[in-house]
Amino acid sequence: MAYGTKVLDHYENPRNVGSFDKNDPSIGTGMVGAPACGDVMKLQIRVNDEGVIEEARFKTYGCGSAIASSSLLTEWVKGKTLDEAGQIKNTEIAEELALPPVKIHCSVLAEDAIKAAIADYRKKSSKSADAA
Amino acid sequence: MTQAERCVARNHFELFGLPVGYDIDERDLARRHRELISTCHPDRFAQASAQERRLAVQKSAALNEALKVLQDPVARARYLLELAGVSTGEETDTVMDPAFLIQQMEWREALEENRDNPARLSSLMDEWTAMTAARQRELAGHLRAGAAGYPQARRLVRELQFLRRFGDELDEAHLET
Repeated sequence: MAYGTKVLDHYENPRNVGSFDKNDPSIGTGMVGAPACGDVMKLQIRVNDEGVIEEARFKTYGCGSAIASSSLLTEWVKGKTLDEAGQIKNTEIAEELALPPVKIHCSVLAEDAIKAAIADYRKKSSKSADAA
Repeated sequence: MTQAERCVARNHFELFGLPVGYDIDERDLARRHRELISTCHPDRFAQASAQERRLAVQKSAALNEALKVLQDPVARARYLLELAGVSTGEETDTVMDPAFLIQQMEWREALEENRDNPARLSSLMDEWTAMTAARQRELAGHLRAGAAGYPQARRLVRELQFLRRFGDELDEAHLET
């Protein structure tokens, strides 16, 4: 399959690959999977007290488009508030990477991953607020 | 009713004169397919009208498609759910059991790190085989339970589809060693 230059760039030099400690209260972890292609994506965010994402890490097993989508997303969410990051649409990712129609679902995976990470962080912080 | 029209059915099971259900005798299915496909063979329609010929071609395509679905346990389960109005959403629904996904990620890591290690690859293959077989058994149980079993059956079809993809990757890695 012919990948666009931006996809190739992220695929060959993925940004922010790695993991955070998922038990750290400032970390939100989103894990999603696409049964049709067997792709797994883990996306983690480190959130400061102001609710701003300071850093993001990802680990994706899947095709080049799935890796590029998550890599791009980790760059985009840095410095955004949780609300802003939660508004990122898969279509923006697909457009930026010029994904072909058959690879749109890879960008959906990335959008769902950040949403899951935000939800996980909020769930954890509301729990620790309850405990306090 | 013409010969070609006799092959019309509302679903893949009915096409073969079988009751709608998960349990299928695969040999019986293959026999029924052979018999039916011969009634739609193009040779039988050499003298028929263009429309009848076209119908016969469509029927054999439908029979082959139905066979493909019914002889594969995961595809058959997916199809049963679809008939019941339950979509497995394998293209669109990315929410899966986190523990399952973590385990899938670990397998993929192990595969990446052990491409040159036939012993580890074959132990991965054993784990994969065991997990797939266990889920297929579970799936059969839930589908026999009827509508109450659909939510679990949906989860299992999705996970088995996931496992299938990993199985393909394992096969490829195995061929390379």
